[in-house]
Amino acid sequence: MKYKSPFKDKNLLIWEINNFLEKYGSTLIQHASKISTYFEISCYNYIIKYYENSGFTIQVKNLDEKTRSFKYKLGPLGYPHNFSYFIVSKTYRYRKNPKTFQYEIRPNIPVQSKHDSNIFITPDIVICDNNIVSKRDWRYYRGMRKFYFIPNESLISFAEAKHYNPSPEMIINFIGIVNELMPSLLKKKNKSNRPAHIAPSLIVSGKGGYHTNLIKRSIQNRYSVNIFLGVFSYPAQIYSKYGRSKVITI
Amino acid sequence: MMLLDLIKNLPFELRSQIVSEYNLKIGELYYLLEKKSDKYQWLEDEDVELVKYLLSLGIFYRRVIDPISGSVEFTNRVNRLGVPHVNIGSIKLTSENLKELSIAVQKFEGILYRFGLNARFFDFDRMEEFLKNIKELKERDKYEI
Repeated sequence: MKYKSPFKDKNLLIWEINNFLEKYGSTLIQHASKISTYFEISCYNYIIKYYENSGFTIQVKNLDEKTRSFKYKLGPLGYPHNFSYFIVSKTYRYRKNPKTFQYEIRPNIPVQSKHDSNIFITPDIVICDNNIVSKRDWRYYRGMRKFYFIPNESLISFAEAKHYNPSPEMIINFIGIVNELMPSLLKKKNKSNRPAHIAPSLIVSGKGGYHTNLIKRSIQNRYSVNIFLGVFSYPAQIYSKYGRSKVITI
Repeated sequence: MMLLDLIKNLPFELRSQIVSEYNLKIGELYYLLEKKSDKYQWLEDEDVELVKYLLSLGIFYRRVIDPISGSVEFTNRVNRLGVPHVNIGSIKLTSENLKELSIAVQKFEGILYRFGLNARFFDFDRMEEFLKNIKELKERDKYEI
């Protein structure tokens, strides 16, 4: 295909973009307030794709009863039973006895710390067993409502989505979350069990430079975590069937 | 300012993030043009305006169009599973507005494609990398009749 040249046809490019904005600008603006949530949803989709490409079957759960719509949980507040999520399952045949493994992939659900049972962190995406517990404690939400969370032993993995350019601090802060939720992954390189899960992952839209890539490599060599940079132009690095050997699993 | 045409109606916070990223990169651009003028001799005066325009287009693509494209892809996935729409707080992604958003994303990417531009072209950390991509783009013109 013969491309037009932005150098020779600069005015045409500007004219086409202006036309685009005139026609679709108002549509885009309606959604612009949710941009960072949309990036998070994209990452949620990449994680589901990862499991799908790893041979899991996927199911959508807990749709809105009236409208049958998927209700995406936006933050730590809100009762989990009011929001939708995905279930992934895979069956292995151990000689003649098939065994099915099933996990939930939930957005924005609090997870109990490994170090202190009264501390909770809410990763953007949580992969967990089917085990949500609640407690009513006056110190949380002034005792007005129940507090729902995933007990630490039911956490399988998690992911954080950042729609920014990566910085050294952003990557190192992620290790703080891993330390709070899954500290064993920072002690030695884990071998993945069956079924293998994607290791805790930081998913960043920006590409980063020499230094951030150095930090990414260093951290991935030391710990069982994934740092995905440049997801804007290369999202398949997370879920591609062909690049899966590069994804760290636990 | 061309960037403002792209972002004039966006919410304040998003607009500020885009302007701040743009200004940072423009600072880098002028620094390079001043300090490494020999290296960037190929960049003629009138090209600098184009570099600035492409820069604003790239930031708009990454910060606005791409996340919307991701949410369209997710909604398509749940649609295939028989779920009619996705509720994200007050926003409802229905098959109707999904269609509208899909077309908007396709049109935007279509314009870029016709000019030989894509996500990889706009994915850079330092202005030096972006200028390298632009140089390659300019060199392409030499070989096309």
